[in-house]
Amino acid sequence: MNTREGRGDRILLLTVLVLLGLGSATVFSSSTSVSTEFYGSSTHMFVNHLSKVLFGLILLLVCSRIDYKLVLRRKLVPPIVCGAMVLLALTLVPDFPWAVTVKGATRWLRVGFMVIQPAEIAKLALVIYVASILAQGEGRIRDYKRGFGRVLTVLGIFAVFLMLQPNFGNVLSLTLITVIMVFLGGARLAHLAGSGMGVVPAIGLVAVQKPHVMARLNTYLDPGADPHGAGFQLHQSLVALGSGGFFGLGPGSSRQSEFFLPDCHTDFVFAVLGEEFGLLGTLGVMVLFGVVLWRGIVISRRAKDLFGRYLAIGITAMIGVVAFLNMAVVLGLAPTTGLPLPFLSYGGSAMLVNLGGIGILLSIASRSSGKQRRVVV
Amino acid sequence: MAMAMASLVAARLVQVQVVQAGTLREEAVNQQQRTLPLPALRGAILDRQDRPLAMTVPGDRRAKEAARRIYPRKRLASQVIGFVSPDGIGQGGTERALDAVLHGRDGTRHVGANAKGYLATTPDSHTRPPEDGSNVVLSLDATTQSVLERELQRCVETSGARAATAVLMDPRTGDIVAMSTYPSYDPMDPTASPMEARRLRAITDVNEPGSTFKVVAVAACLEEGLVDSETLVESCEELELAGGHVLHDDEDFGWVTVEETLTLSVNTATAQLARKAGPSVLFDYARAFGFGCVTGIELAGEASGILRRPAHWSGRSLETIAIGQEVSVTPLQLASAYAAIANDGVLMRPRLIVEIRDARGRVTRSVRPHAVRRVVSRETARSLRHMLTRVVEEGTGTEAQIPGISVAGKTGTAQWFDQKRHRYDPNRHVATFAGMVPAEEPVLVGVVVVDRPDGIGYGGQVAAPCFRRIVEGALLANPEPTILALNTLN
Repeated sequence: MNTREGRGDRILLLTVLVLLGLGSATVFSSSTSVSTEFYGSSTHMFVNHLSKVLFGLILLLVCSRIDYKLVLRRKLVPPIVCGAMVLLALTLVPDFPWAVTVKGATRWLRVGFMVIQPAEIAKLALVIYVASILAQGEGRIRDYKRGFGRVLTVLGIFAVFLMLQPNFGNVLSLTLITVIMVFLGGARLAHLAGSGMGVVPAIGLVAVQKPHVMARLNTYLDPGADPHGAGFQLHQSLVALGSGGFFGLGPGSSRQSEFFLPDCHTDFVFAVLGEEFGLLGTLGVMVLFGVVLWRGIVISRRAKDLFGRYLAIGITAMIGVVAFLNMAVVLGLAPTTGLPLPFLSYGGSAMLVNLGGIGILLSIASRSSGKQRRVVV
Repeated sequence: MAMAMASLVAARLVQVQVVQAGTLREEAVNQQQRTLPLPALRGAILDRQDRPLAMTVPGDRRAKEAARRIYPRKRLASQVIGFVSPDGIGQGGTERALDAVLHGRDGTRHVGANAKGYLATTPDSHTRPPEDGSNVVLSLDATTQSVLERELQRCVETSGARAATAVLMDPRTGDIVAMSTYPSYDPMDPTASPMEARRLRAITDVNEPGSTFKVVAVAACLEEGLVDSETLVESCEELELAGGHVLHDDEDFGWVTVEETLTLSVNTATAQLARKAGPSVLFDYARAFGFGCVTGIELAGEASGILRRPAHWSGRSLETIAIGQEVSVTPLQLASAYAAIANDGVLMRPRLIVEIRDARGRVTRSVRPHAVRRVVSRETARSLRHMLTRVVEEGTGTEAQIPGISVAGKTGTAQWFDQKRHRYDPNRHVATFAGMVPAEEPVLVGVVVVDRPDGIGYGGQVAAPCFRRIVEGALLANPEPTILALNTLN
C-alpha cells in the first residue's frame, strides 16, 4: 500500500479506530457493574472512557498536523525529558497533595480535572529522547560517553523513579523499548550486553526486596497454588477467556466482569474481550496490533530523516511491547505487571500518550518521501 | 522476534480458548450461577366439612417474606394437627405423619450471580416449578371438636385433675369425630407449652382401664354361650385369689345377674365370669376387641398398650385382668372397642385421614372405612348395649344421662401408676367413662379419661358428666345425629 506524501497513513488510522471501537465496546460491558458500584451509574465510567478517547483523538489530530521535526528545531527534547522526570518525582514526594494512591502504589497525579500517570508520559519522553540521540547517526550511539551512556543514564533515572513508586511493569516496558530502539539504531552489542549484565541483576535485587513483586512471581510460577488468593485474578482471567471459547458469548454478555475478574475494564480488558468475542476476537485484536506494527515499520522505513525513522520505531515498539506484555499477563505467560492494553483498556494517560504517538506516526508518514528506506528489523 | 512472541501469545490463546475451554466454561458456570430453592406451598389440613384447621399463607418473594403456616382455629385440635418447625418440617400429629404429602416438592431456580453475591435473572436462568403440597381432609368435625375441648377444660378446672383426654368416634365408620387432651398447646408457639400438652395422649398414653374393661369378660361369656344376661353369678365382699391376694367389693351383693355385674360394677362377679371363660378365651376376646395392638391410625407414636399372653400370666392375672388391672390401654383403643359394641359387634379401624387432594383439587387418595373383624355377634352386641344402658339408667353411670336419649356406657376407676416410682399411688386415680348414644343404634361413641382428679374421683362422678356434656354439645351442634356420618364421604 503506497501512501502519497501529505496524506498520512489511512490504514493505520483505520486500524486504531477499529481497536478503539472494540475497546470501547468491551469497556462498556465490563465497567457497568463496577461503575454502578462506585458511581451509582452504569455508564459513568464508559462516558469517562469515551471522553478520553475523544480527547486522545483530538491530540492525535493535532500531533499529526504538527511537524515532528519541530521538537528538534525548537530544542524541545531537554524540557520534555526534564518535565517527565519532574512529574515522576512528584509522585514520590511524601503526602504530595496531587498524588493518588491505588492498591499501595502512588503512580498517579491529579492535575486539574484529570488524573495523569507520569509513567506513560515518561515512556513517550524516553522514546523522543532516544530517537533524538539516534537521529545523530550511528557514530553517536556507538560512542559510549556521548551516546549509549547518556541513554542508559536517562533510562536509569526513569527506572529508579518508577521502581520507587513502585511500578515494575513500566520499568520493564521502558527498558525493552530502549533496547529495541538502540539495537536498531546500531548500538554496540558489547555495550548492550555489558549494561545488561550490570543492570539486570541490580533491578532484580531491588525487585525481590519488594514483597508484592515476589508474590506476583510466585503466582506466575505456580498459578494454581492459591486460586482464591494471589492467583485469583489470573485464574478468573483464564476462566473468562475459556468460557468465551471460539466464538465468544457475544458483545455485552460478559459474566466475569460481575466482580469476578478484578481490573476487568483496565489491565484485564483483553480477557473480557476474549469472553465476549471468543478466540476470533482475541486473534482479531492480535492481527490489528500486527497491522499497527506493520504500518509503524513501514512509516519508519519511509521516513525522510533519521529522527522520524527512530521516532516511528520507538512509538511502534512502545505500543507493541506494552500490548505484548499485557496479553502475556492476561494469559498467564508473564507475571502481573499492571500495564494496560493500548487503545483498549480503560485509562486516561495511556490512551492519550498512545493516541498522541499514533498522531506523531501519522505526522511522520505524511512527511515521508514515499520511498522505502532500508531498515534493519 | 516479534513474530515469535506473537506466535507464543496466539498458541496460548488457542490453548486457553479452545483446548481448555470446556473445563474453564464449566468453572465459569459454577461460579456465575446459583440454584435457589422455590419452596412448595404446604397443603392445608381440613376438617370433614372442608373447614381449614391448618393452612399456609404464601409469602411475598419481592418482600422476601416467607410463607406462614397458620392455624385459623388457634389451639383447636392442636395435638391431632401438630405443628411445623421453623425449618418447615412437620412435627407431631398430622403435620408429621403426612409431612411429605403436605410439603409437596420444592422447585428450583437457576439464576446468575456475581462475585458479590447479588443475584439476577440471566438468559440462562431456568426454573423447575414447585409442586405444591396436597390438602388433607380429616374425619374431625371442627364444631364437635370445639365442644369436646371446652368440656375437657371445664372438667379439668372443676375436678382439679392434671389432664383430661377424650375421643369421640362414629362407630359405623370408625371416624374420629373429635379427639383432644386438655391442657393443649398453641401450634403457632409450640415451645411455650410442655411436651405433655403437645403429645396426642389419646394414642400415646396408656392407663389401666379399670371397670370399663369388664365388658370384655361379659362379652366373652355371652358370645361363648356360657351365660345370658339373666344368669346368676355369685359375688362376695372378698374373693381369695392365688398367692393369698384378695379381690374386694364395696359390699356383699350376693348372687347377682350378669346385667347387675355391669350396672353395679361388681368385681368379684366379674372374676367369676372370667373363671367360667378361662384365660385363653378372655385373652382372645380382649385381643379381638383390639387391646394390646395398635389400632393402625396413621399417626406416629401410637402405643399398643399392655395385654400379656396367658403364658405370662400369674395365678391371679385372670381375675385382675377381667376387672381392668394388669392391662393398659390407650383412650383410642378403649373407644374403638366400645365402638365395636356400638357397631353391632364389628370392630372398625379408627379413621382420621379421610381424603387427600392434590393442589389442583384432584382426589389422590381416599380412605374407605375399614372393618377389622367381627368381635361378637349382633345379638351379643345388642345385649351388651342393653346392659350398658342399665348402667347409665340406674347403675354407676347415672351422671351420663341425657333426657330423651338413651345413653349406654360404663364407668371405670383405676389407681394411677406412678411411672417414676414404678408403683401404684393409692391416693391418685384415673377416672374413665366409655359410652355411646343412642343406645339402640349408636352414632357416637365417646371415651373420657380424667387424669388424677382431686379426691377419689370415681369415673362415674368425674368422667361421666364430662361425657354427657360433650355428647349433648355434639348432638346440639349436629341436630340430626345421622348427618355426622356424612354418607357422601363413605
